Amino acid sequence: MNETPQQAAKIVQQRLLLYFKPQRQQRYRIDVVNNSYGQTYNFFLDLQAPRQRERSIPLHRLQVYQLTYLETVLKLLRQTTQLTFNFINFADQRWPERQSLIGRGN
Amino acid sequence: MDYANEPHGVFFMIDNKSFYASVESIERGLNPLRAVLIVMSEADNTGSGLVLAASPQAKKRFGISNVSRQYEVPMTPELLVVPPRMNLYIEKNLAINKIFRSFVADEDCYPYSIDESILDMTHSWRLFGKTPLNVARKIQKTVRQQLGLYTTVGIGENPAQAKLALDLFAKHDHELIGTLSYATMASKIWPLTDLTKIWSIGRRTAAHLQRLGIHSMRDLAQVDPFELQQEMGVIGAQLFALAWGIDRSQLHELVKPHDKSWGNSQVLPRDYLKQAEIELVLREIGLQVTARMWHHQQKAGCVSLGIGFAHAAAQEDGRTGFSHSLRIESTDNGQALVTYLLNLFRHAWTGQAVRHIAVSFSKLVPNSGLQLDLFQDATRQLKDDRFERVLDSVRARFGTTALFPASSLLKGGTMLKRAGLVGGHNGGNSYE
Repeated sequence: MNETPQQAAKIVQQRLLLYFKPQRQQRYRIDVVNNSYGQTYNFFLDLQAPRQRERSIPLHRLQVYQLTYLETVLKLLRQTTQLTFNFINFADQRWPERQSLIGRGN
Repeated sequence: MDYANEPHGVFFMIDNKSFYASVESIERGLNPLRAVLIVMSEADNTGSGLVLAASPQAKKRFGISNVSRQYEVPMTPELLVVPPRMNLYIEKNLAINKIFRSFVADEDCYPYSIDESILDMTHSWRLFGKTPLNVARKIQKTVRQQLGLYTTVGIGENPAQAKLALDLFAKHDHELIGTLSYATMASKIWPLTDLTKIWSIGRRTAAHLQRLGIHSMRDLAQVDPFELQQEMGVIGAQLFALAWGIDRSQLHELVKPHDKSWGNSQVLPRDYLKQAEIELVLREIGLQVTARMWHHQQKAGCVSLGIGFAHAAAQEDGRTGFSHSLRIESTDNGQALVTYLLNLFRHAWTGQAVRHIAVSFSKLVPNSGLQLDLFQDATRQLKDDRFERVLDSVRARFGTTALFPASSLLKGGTMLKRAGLVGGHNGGNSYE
């Protein structure tokens, strides 16, 4: 059975809680990847401290490969985190509801 | 050499370029050949961290190799470090083999390791192209299109040639394809002098060959095979055949192991000195192996224990460890099996620091019911048996950590931490 957007968002939030430990001078970002090969949307927590190696920790893979679904999950996530979302490999796709380009101003 | 009677087929040996690193690159929307990424395991027993895979660019720019240690990896923001997800790699390996099976019959596709497969294309290559080389390109293209991964192909007239072609030529070819045949063995393989680069020749075998005056594949091909066999045993004959590109193995005739066994081993996260701590892990591994044996409804007639000493202890002792086996009355009782293991351990251990523990149960027989012991209370025996079966079914349903001995919470226990590992590294299940 497919995961609901609420369940998916909850898993990402739980993982974030585990790995997001705010420290000075550290950059945090959530990467959202459109994996067209595996037909999944992948979430990663990207960490970068000065002069250190960049780290990328997997948070979740959304198996429902639909933009409306992704849009709902993101809406739920934004209610609980202020972290920047970085959208990768969405080319010039638009959000189904807002019709804005993915990755521009969101 | 007359090759007329040797098998002449078309074999592909295909591997994935930096498999784990490539899968992780694709998952992050990066090109596997351009990403500068390493997969690093930070499981307890890898010390500070161990590089499981490095992308081609990470290897090229920073000289990182697989099995590099964390402290050997440069501290630079240009390098992306990711944790391993063994279950994801297994999933991708299955997907790749599914693609391969669209080019050969199921029985002609032989997965060789997590990122290598042998395809016997003898009967099917003509369906897909004019030459085997064309077909190899087609397979590469299909895998790239469907999964994003780059594959390397070795082509030969038998599996050994295909493997040599893959290791020695395909990996350095711009098309990622290498070919070998009986006709080209002498020109392509014989000039090679670094024998450790050849599949099946390790450092020790190479040193042995050097001592015999064999310094190149040409020397190996021109040695008297009977003398070589006398010196090195059956391996000598195999190496001589390899130098001539001869491989008579029939892949469809499955090799049946003589005596199956169940076993498990682990490298401990640090040196264990206290008897109680070592015995705790021993008990955990013993019960874990028992559970696997139970699952297959078998009983063991022999228990074996292998102990590896810590580096310093091994130097002091002169041995690297010990291993002992004990024939027993067939049983599947976890407590009884653990007691045998503990006895073996106590008998042979004289206080050395321990770093590696291996347990196996062999001489397996089907479990056809409980054999009551005349000298013990029958009701007690039945109750014990039922108790163990309840534990087993709870674990089968809710996972191995649903019920566990409280002793696993003591200092030194490794079972809880290892429950989520696959092949000793992070399985990544919880991320899915």
